[in-house]
Amino acid sequence: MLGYPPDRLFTGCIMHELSLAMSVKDIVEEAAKSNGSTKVNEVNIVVGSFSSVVPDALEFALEVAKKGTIFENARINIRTEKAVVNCSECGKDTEIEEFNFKCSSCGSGAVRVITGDRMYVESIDIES
Amino acid sequence: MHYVELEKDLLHQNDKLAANIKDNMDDHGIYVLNIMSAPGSGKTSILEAVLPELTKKYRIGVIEGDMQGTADADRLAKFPVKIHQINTHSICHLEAAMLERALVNFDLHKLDCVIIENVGNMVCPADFFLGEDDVMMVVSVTEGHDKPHKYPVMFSKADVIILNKTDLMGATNFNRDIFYEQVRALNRETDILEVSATQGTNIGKIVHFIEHGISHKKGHEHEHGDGHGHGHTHHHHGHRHHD
Repeated sequence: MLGYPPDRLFTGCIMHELSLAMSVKDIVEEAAKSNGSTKVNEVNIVVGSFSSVVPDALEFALEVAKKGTIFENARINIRTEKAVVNCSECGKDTEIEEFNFKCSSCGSGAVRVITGDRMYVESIDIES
Repeated sequence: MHYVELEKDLLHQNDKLAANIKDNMDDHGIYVLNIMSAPGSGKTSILEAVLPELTKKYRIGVIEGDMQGTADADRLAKFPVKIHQINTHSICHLEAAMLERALVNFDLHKLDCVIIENVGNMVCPADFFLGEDDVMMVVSVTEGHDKPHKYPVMFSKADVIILNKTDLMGATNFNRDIFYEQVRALNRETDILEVSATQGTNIGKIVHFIEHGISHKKGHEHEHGDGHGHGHTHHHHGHRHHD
């Protein structure tokens, strides 16, 4: 892996994203099979901004993982989901920037992440 | 054309396996500690410092995760602990499936605690739950005070943070105030223990943390003799154990 430009996509651990890409493959194949489909047109993935995954790297890994599968020619859409926290002091849900766990409304640190911490296959579009 | 809603988590498979490991460890009353850090922060040195004390009272198993080789396992071979080395090859973190296979090498009836030394990496290990009770994160002063801001996920998941190599503080520009402020922005509750593994400074605090975990787990086992449905898991900002 050495010799590439200093970009996480290549010098970082692409294996991390590859592990997750293999998980996407399992999910898509199982869902297509259980819906009696042999061709997947589109795979929609959501990556929370509060996860260690780089969407570009996941896309790259999926190009490798989908070879020879039921979704080899499928369009892969990766949407990034912003991190939203709920504040137990003022009760508001606010977006947070740069992982600073504070309520953007009242500044309290008594917050809980409600979205943006997951990575999941949201849906697939299949030929039935 | 047919649209199918799935909402299937990418870490579902790992989390499911990890939850099984957790149940199994709960049944045996074994405390599991997952140690994460960058390469060279001092994970193995910390183990070398705490094992003499811990092994006096407890039966410890150690699982070493490295891309290749047995250097860390070799360093710990002098202690009365059962060690298993996992070589991940090109993979940058440990996954629950690897741990499941490694645990086959241990007699769970003869253990009080399993310590996992994860692959040295500040990014990827944080995403993979291994069924541990606690995450211990090690960061050393030579890495700089700005690391919490740069690697927020791991810092936010730590149940305890060990600030190692404090004996070298004077030789660096490490700013303790900035470090604490950055950690607190990510993780309000975690303990931060300042130690020097090689000098033996404050090692007792780490020993105490692990002992507390072991005895808590033992107590828990007695309360729930049937060994099922303990549900004793830490939820940090609710971003673990996805279903």
